[in-house]
Amino acid sequence: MPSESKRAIDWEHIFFLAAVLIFLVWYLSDATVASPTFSNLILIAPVGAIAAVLVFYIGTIEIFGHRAAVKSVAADTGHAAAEADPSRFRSGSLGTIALLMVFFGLFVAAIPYAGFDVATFVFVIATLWLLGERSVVFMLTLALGISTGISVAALTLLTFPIPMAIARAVWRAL
Amino acid sequence: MTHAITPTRRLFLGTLVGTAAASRLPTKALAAAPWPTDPITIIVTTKAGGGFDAMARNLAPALSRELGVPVNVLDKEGGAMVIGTKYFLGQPHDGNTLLVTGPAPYWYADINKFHAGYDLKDFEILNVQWTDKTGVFVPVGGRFQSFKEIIDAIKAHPGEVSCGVVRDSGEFFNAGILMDALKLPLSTIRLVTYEASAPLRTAVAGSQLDFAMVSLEASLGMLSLIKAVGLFNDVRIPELPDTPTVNEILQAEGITATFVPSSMRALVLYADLKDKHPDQYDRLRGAYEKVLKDPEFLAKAKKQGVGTDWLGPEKSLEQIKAAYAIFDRYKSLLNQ
Amino acid sequence: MIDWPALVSALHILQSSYSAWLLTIPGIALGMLGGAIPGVSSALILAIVLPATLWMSLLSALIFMTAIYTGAAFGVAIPAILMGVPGSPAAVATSFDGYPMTQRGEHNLALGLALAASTLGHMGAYLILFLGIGWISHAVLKLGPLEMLLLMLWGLSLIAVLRGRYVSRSLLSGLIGILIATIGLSPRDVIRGTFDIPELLDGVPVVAAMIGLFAASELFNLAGASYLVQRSDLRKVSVREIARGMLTALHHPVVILRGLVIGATIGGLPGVGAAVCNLVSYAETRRGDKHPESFGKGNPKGVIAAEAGNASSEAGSMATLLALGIPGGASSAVMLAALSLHDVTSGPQFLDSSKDIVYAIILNNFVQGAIMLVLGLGLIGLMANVIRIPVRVLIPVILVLATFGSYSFSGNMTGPIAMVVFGLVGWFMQRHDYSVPACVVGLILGGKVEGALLQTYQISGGGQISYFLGRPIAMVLLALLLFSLFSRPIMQWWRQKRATNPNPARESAVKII
Repeated sequence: MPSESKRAIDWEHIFFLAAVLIFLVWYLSDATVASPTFSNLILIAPVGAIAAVLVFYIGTIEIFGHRAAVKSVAADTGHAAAEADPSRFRSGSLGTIALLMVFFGLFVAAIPYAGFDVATFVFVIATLWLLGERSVVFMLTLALGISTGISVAALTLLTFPIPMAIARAVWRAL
Repeated sequence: MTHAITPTRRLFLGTLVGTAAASRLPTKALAAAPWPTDPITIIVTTKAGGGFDAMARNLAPALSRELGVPVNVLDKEGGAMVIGTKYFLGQPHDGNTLLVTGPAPYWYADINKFHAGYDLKDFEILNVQWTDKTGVFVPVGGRFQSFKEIIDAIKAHPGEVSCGVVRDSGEFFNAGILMDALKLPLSTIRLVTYEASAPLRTAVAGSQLDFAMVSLEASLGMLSLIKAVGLFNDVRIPELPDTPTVNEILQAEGITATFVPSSMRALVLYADLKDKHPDQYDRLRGAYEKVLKDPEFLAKAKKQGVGTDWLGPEKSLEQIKAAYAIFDRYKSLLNQ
Repeated sequence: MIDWPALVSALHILQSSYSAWLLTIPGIALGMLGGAIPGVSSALILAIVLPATLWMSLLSALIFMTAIYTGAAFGVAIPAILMGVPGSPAAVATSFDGYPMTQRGEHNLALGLALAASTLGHMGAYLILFLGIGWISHAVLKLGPLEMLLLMLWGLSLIAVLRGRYVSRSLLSGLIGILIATIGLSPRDVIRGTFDIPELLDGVPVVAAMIGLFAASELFNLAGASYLVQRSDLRKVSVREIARGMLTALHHPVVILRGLVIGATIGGLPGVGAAVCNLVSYAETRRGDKHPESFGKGNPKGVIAAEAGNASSEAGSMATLLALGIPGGASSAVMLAALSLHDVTSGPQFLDSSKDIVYAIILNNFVQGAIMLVLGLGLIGLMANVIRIPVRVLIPVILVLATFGSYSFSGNMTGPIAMVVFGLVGWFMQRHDYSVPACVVGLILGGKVEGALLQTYQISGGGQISYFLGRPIAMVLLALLLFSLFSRPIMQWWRQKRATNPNPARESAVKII
């Protein structure tokens, strides 16, 4: 393992680290501007500082020190087991997963406009199709079932309103 | 096992279903039917279990009887009352949504410190129904057994005596006012801020603090563990006949001070309700005033320790503005 | 210790109040089903049924509510085990080992373990409550801000054991989690990081963020799989296996006992709820184990420890609720509201005057444990069939339900939006080996740590040593904390130094990185 060849820099990782750093800088400056007092910064200043140090540390290893990183990982007793670690299991192409996340994001974004009922209906159908379901009957039935179920639950149990496009009107008409 | 619907089962099932369904379904409303026909919601800006919530939950069934529609309580806590208040403002401005909140002191911080975006003029504060009385409490068997001892210790040992208050509450301001009256900087005491009065009381009961200034009503249940040594009130109260008022004690030392009232809990409506829906305003106000005289309501409220004052909109606003004037003088405390 | 006349009176009350018993079973079922939906917490269910309790007697109301609480305590473990998405933060640690077990086809076993641990933890903690409710509440009183801080740090130290392959990355995860938890109003009411969005004043909704993080790291990754359990021969529901799991739990009494004591004692502290207890119990069991590296990969003891800690915290919070009138968390706050609706001010006065009702509640909860075993067996036998549902159906349904749950929690869109945002963040994190659980621990505990830290600073007059030295309990806690953190690594290092000569220092130095 120590003789592994130099692996490429994982730029996605660097990008992620950069995003973390931006968050750290922004948050700490926002908090300091709001109130540069000890009582305000007592926790977030040290935590933020250590976090920033870690970002640089990890970033440096990522860019420069792959060999050292590989070695230290090898020394970790759990290394072999980690490879077989079920939590690192992933199936499905990156594309599918990306689309799934996009669909989910669109679903949540649509709720205030299309209402929980309609948004759920569309989301369920879209996701089912994305993940391989092809029976139209099944898709429609499940989507209708879920959105109806949720609408009923929301309208009867919750004491505050939830965005609904058509369910409320249907309910009142009943 | 039989499948008979016993009276208990019927009661239980009926209750669950009835409450759930009836609270949500609007009754078929005819255009000409007098208001209200839809259920009414009281929004509470704190979470379940506190004083504001208790006040609303006490009011709800009585109002419901008067108005003939279900009245629900919705807890919308968070953001030092900003979230609930903003939520209230976001609902349609009619009589179907009411607000129970603390215009003083909480809104003061919301308006001045958090720039919540609303102001007193956006609301019609119908009535400050319940103003907490605050007391100075010490642990039973603690270092200090009287308020005078506390004051002496503060002067004699600066920086050592610990005082607990709920953050940004009326008592928080009163700590500042007290120190001002004693002509000492606030740092002379160790001011410890707590999220709510329950953990504060626990801290006193467990002798974590030398003394605390906290609301009185709920503390009455803990008198085996905490002792009231002073009262922020004009006169002594019957529940604690031997407890002097703070002003009594201070006057004996030749000190005078004007303290702010503690939590003022109010029933609030929309400012434009009177203009937009005068009939709803009148009906609401009439029903509410009636409830405050209803013996059944009063008995229950008394049992739960909920206040039942009627001040009316004018006097309520007056008191709130008076409190704000005092807060203004101590604005710097907010940024401690 | 035991007030015998009150006990007799309690038995009388329970005998005659059949409506209270009638409510127990639906309560537990409701709690279990609700808890099994990620995002729907016991606090939410309790808030929904609160108006209905107005019509019940005090005893019935409290029994109904505690039944829901009990059911939900276990219910949240079900999705944690079957899908790796905890129903609430109270089951976070359960998912660490529960989900890997499912992936190996050992879901029946895991569910059985969880059910048994939950029941035993619940009943054991109530037994402790029965014997010493007065003592527990006195103990709670003695804990001040410093002790709370140490407890929170103890919980946070779990981050150190949650590392994936890189300690540094998991540490960073945890720290970021802590920082995110502080967004919103500070304990001194300073607004931080809210972009002027008022809905964020209360901070990032932790439950929604947690679901997003876990959903991203587990659910999304299943996009191409057909079923939760890959091998079809393992993809069955076997009540016998579940029962075997339950019996297996009995082989680890120490683990259960540890979780039980942790939950019963610190579970009562305000702000310390099932979430903290399940994490601390898990961390301690892992630390004390001979093979800590086996945790997180499907070690049954992990599930047992987490669930025992989770379930026993209910008794702890009931102790402080009834004896001191202090709600420990959202769920007990709703119960406090129920108490006040019945004109009861709980607290020492209540404990003295109504000990029989308190005993009745405790006794009923014993029975709740037994009921839960039976009901639980049936229900999880039913719900375990989830693994036979194709993943392509599960994913949209769970996501929709969780979105609904997180919306209901906060009453506005911050919940669902947090789910999406953290889903994205979580996916990136997982991809680069940043421990998601570490981040969740930071999220859950971050705000509380700051509160405790600030109060400790205030009450010690700005950090004066005299304050710290005058608190023996804190010293003991600190010693325990240091011991549990460092005893193993130090012993290991020492053992290695003695055993091997060449370069032992380098190995252990690398471990510390």
